[in-house]
Amino acid sequence: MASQQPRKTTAPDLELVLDVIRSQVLGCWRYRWVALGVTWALCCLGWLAVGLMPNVYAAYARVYVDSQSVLRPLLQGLAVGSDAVSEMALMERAVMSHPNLEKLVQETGLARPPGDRKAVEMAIMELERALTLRWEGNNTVWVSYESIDRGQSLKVVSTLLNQLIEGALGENQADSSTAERFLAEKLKEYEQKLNESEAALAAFKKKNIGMLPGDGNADYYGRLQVELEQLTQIEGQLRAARNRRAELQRQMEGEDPVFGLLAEDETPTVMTTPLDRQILELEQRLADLRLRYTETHPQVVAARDTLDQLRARRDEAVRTGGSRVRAYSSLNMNPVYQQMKIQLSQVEVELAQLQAQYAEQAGVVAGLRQKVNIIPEVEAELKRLVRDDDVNRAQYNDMLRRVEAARVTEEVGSNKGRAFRVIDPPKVLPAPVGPNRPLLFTAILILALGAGAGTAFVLNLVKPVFFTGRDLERRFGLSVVGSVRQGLTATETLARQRMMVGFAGGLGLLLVSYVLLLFLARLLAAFGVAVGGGT
Amino acid sequence: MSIIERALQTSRSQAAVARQPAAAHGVLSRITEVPLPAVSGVPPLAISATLAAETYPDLDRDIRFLKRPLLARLFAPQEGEGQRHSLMITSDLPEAGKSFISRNLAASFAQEKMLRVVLVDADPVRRSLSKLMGVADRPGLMDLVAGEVTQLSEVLLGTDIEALYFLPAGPTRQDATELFASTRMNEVLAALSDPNTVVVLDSPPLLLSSEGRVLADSVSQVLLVVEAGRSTAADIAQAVDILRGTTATISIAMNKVPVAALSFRHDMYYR
Repeated sequence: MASQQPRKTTAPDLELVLDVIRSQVLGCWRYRWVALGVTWALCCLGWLAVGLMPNVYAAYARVYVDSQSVLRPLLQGLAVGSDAVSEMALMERAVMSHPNLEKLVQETGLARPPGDRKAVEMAIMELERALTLRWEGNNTVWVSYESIDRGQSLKVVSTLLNQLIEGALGENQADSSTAERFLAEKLKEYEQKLNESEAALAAFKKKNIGMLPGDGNADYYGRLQVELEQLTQIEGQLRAARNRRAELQRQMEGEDPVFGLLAEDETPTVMTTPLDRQILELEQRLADLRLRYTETHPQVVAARDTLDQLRARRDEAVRTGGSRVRAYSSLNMNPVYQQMKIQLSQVEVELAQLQAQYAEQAGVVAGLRQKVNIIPEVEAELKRLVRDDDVNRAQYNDMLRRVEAARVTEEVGSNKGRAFRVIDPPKVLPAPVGPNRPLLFTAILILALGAGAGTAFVLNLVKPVFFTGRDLERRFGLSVVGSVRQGLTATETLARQRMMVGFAGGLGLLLVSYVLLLFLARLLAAFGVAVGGGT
Repeated sequence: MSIIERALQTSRSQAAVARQPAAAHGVLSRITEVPLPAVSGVPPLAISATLAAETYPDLDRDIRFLKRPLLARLFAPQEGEGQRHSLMITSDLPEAGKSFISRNLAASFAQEKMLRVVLVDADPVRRSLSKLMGVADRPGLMDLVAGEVTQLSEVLLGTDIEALYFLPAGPTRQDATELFASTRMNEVLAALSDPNTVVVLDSPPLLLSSEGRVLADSVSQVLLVVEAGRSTAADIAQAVDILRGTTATISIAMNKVPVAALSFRHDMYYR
């Protein structure tokens, strides 16, 4: 080889890079057998592990889900778009909730031992991993579960479906019945309160019967006013009647004897005295009054009193006899006088009647005045009782309405079973769905080859060697005066060829093993299908 | 003692005689006409046949490219009177191809028209050159240094290449290091050297024994042979450190470079 000067100045960067790569490859090549060994070892171990991995079977079912009824409780009070994706997410959250999965674990006996808290949690995690819900559109959900145990995968899927269909989804039912019970208790409470307030009101009304305002809504002062007006009115009438009587008496007694009152002829009549005629008339009038009024009516009483007075006077006149009777008789026989007498008596009757009325009204007014301190209190108490009663009634009605609403809600909730319908019943796929052995075999082969190459690379890094003078110059800065290429004897060439054949054979055998494994995996999978179809 | 001294002196005077025309008149052909005192009665060693048997394509070219800078260094102008053109060939590890490089390089030097070359087997332990030549049982360098042989003509062998002589290693000895370090070693080398003679010493590896290190002090040039793809950076660094502690000038050559490591360009233009 020539001296170093021309090389140093003319070596372009690309050549340098190629040089370095060449040296590295040759350096790694020294460790080819180590690399091959590592590759073989890793492949054997990895392939064995993959081969020993248990088959995974998948059970699946297809379910129709009425998303609205399922999601209604979840969507309450939320403004969520009804796109399929978010609905599915909510569905999944509802189904895959921790309590649900725990129930599922308990029913399928996935946790071993069953009571162990840790085992249950592990089983739940496994469920979360292996249980798949996939939204297929048109309210159809694909449910699948993967397990190394066919029977168990089927059991999990069918148990889950049962849970869904039985409406065991979530704790809604229990919640609503609890709420209903609460409402019912409240309702009873309010009912009792209402009854109490009504009874209290009735008792109060009974106790204060005279002091309660009438239906006209008039309170105490209003009533007093009315009664006083009535009293004044009666008083006015009484005064008028008295005036009339006084005038009549003055006319009768002051103008006595009235001219023309006495008739010329003194023919005796059936009526021996004028009083007799008066008595007769009054008796007729009394009978007439009795037809219309009771015995206690003031007019009747007055008429009877007057009749008694007249009879007494006639009896006295009969006893004295003589001229007086004649005179009277003549006077009494005067029709004007007679008329005035009748009027007077009528006024007197009216007066007595008014007097009685007045006394009665005055009593009423006095009674009201006497109760001036009690009645407002009673009224206030009444108002309070009525208000209590109204409040209780409103609450009771409200509660009644709520209980009804809750019952309706629960009826809707109990329709949940209808929210899920099985389209495809649970079934186990005949062929195992995993593990993907060909893929794993390939991955392991590639990884092992990489690991082998990596081992050689690392070893070369640990013990670097040099292949060209330039390598050495770069490393030590010493000038290399020349390089002598390797010459191989016939034996050496043969040995090298043998080595290459051996190495290629080792590598080739690895690839052949890999292809055989792929073939075997396919064959076993086919066999597995046949077995699966049989059971 | 007197015998070897005389022999050495004779050798020196002969060399001085030879140098005169070479320098002044350019009569180069006379150099080889004055033969070294080789052992008489022994047929010349068939070294060219050995070399021919082990050659391979492009080896000649590689050796020739290696020879040029080495000659330039050996005959660098600043070297003074009484210079010795001695080249020690060593390596960090055994089996690097020292003997192979030594004999091929020596044969190549011998092709130079104005040079004589003495190839010395200076590896008293392995003696691979001596064995290869079939003269392992003959007395050689160690006998000279130990003083058991005083006449160069008793040990120096001629070869079938006219300007190439061979000095066997001699019998294996325990005190090789001490012998190499002795002044006799310098005297022997001085006896072998003259201005037109290059002494090529095939020596033991540096990292496994001390002979190589000691020998390096007695030569002007050292060629460190590094086996491609085997010597690690640490090995080479250690060998270079050892050589830097000596007076010799260091050169490095790569051996057994795989063809795959040679770039196309190198093949085309630099080889």
